[in-house]
Amino acid sequence: MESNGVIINISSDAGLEKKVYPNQVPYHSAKAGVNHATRAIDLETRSKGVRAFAIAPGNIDTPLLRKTIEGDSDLVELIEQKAGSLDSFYGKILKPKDVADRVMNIVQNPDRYPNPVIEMKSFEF
Amino acid sequence: MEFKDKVAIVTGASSGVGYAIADTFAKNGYNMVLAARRIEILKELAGKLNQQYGVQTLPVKTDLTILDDIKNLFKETREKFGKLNVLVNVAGEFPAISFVDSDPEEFITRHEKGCKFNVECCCLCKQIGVGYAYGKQWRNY
Repeated sequence: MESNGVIINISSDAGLEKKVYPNQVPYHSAKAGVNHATRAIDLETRSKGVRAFAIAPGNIDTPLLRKTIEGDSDLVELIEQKAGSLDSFYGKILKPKDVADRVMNIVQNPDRYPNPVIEMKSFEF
Repeated sequence: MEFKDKVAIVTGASSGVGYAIADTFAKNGYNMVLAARRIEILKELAGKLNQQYGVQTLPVKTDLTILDDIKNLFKETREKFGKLNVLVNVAGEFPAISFVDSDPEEFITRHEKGCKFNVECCCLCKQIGVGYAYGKQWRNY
């Protein structure tokens, strides 16, 4: 069936089983909720020609992530151990444009994505 | 162009991933409805996308924790464009808090806030947006 509408939630790998971050219980609840709610929504809407997707990326270099990391000295230390420096970490992780390109690809080819939850891997700490 | 008449809403369009998505969609010929709390930034982005890519843009000041704001977002979209093809929910937040060291009231408050913003807003936008994409009137707005 030709898709006449696409809805995309930018979720997080924090909503996937394999990934947990420190001090982020509310975020994990929320993003796991977004991912699974999206599966249920897609089940209802798909037959009507509307697809629903949740993209679950790892770390993305955004003002929000930088603010969160730089306000948490434990996190800064952890990242410096893993990546050498904060700048090196920011250089390795996903960029907003990577996510935007994936969203456009999904919208243009929804039938290539049977699974409503789509993981995007990034550099991890 | 293939997508010339298509319309997309992006929430959280004022920075980061939302900003990049707005730019990419406009570049592909989508007319854009831009939603966020910071209207000045949205207006600037709307002007830029219009000038750079020749698409129509509509900035709408939206606080996704307020149901009336979500309704207004879809109402304004309908009034300007009369259609909706794509809805991208980007707005979200990291309500960081220690589970072990925080007091229960503070933890519950933060947890509720995180779920309300990240889950409920996504679902609400979807429910209203889906009704709208079918061409249904959703509770007369």
